[in-house]
Amino acid sequence: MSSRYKSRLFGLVCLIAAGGFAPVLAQDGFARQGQLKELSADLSGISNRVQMSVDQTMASMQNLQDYSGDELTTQAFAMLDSIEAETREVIDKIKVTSPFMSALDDARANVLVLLRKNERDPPSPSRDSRIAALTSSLASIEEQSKQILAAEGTLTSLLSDHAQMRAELIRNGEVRAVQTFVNDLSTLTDGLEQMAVVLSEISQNVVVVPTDDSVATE
Amino acid sequence: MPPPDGFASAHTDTSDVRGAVGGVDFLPILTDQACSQRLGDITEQADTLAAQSTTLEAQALELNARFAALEERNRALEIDQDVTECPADFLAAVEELQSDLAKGDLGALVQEAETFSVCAQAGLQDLNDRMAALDASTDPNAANDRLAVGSVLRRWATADVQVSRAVSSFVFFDQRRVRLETATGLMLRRCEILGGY
Repeated sequence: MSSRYKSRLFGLVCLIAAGGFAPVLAQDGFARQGQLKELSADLSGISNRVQMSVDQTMASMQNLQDYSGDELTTQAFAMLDSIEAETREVIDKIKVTSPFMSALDDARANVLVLLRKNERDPPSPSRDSRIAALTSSLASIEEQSKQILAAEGTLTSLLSDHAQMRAELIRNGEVRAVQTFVNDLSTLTDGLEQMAVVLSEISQNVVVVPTDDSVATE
Repeated sequence: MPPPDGFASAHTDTSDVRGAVGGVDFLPILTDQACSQRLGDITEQADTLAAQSTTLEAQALELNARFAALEERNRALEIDQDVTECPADFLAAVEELQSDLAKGDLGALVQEAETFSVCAQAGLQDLNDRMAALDASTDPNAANDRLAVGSVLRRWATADVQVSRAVSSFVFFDQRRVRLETATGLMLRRCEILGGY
């Protein structure tokens, strides 16, 4: 389980770079590049909530020692509910149809068009500088998009693992099973803690996507 | 997301410049001669492109919504321990969406819009050059000439922005289509493993 979570957390690292493009609900259409600043603040809030969830989970794990078998199972389920709710929230933020991905794809398209236009400008050192900056930004966005989509799959797979854990708890109904679960949960909590760190970094590591205005001022 | 009807097509006179950027394999850039034939109606073309963008966005949103519903169901299936195979109606809906997505390749439309973007940019650059020349001129009529060029310049600048936005939107919609197509493919592959497909 531990190595699997490590692998999954690698996918979550993608969120660092994408932090500048966090999501905002688009009521009537796709989220656009202009909303990216709001998205950053939104994702920062998630980071705080995830950290609180981790603390709460740690406390609940301590409480497990004070309960009997049936209560342990109930408690374990409650913790899984909490973790899964947080996980689902993250998934909803980064899934293909989310405003987050719309804004990211919109940014990508804008950068692409800007790059093409700059390539057609008369040759000059400043033009070459703009092209280099846009090319770098485009490559960064492409890579982050891939990692974000991979993270979505990773988190969904994590939920599937939880379902298996629940099934096992129900089948066994024994303290031994619960304690095994607690060990797994500890690993999972470590993962969430790392995720919290990642999400915290997101709000501090915004990848600046050049806009028409910024390029024009160069 | 099939392209709407009515978009002016084809350009035949092209240079040898070609490049694949960001996953889009752009067509060669038009020569000055081919481009000049389009300059007269650039504003109309820009308006047409903007209207097409609006239409395509509505279609893309509809596909997005269909996918989102399937995605929710797929996620439920992934964690449902009682499920032994993908339900037939779910599979049918995924296949139908995948088929619709496959019909909506916007590559050609992106290329066409890109050619207008090239023309708009070239026209704008030409006007800017003429304005710069008038600025440096000592001709007493240069001020009036600048006024005339300036009025045209605004129209071209607007068209250039409008066409650029259209190209960007088309690239965006096509990227979304590809993403949804990939995601629906993953759903079907999972059902293939799980059973039912």
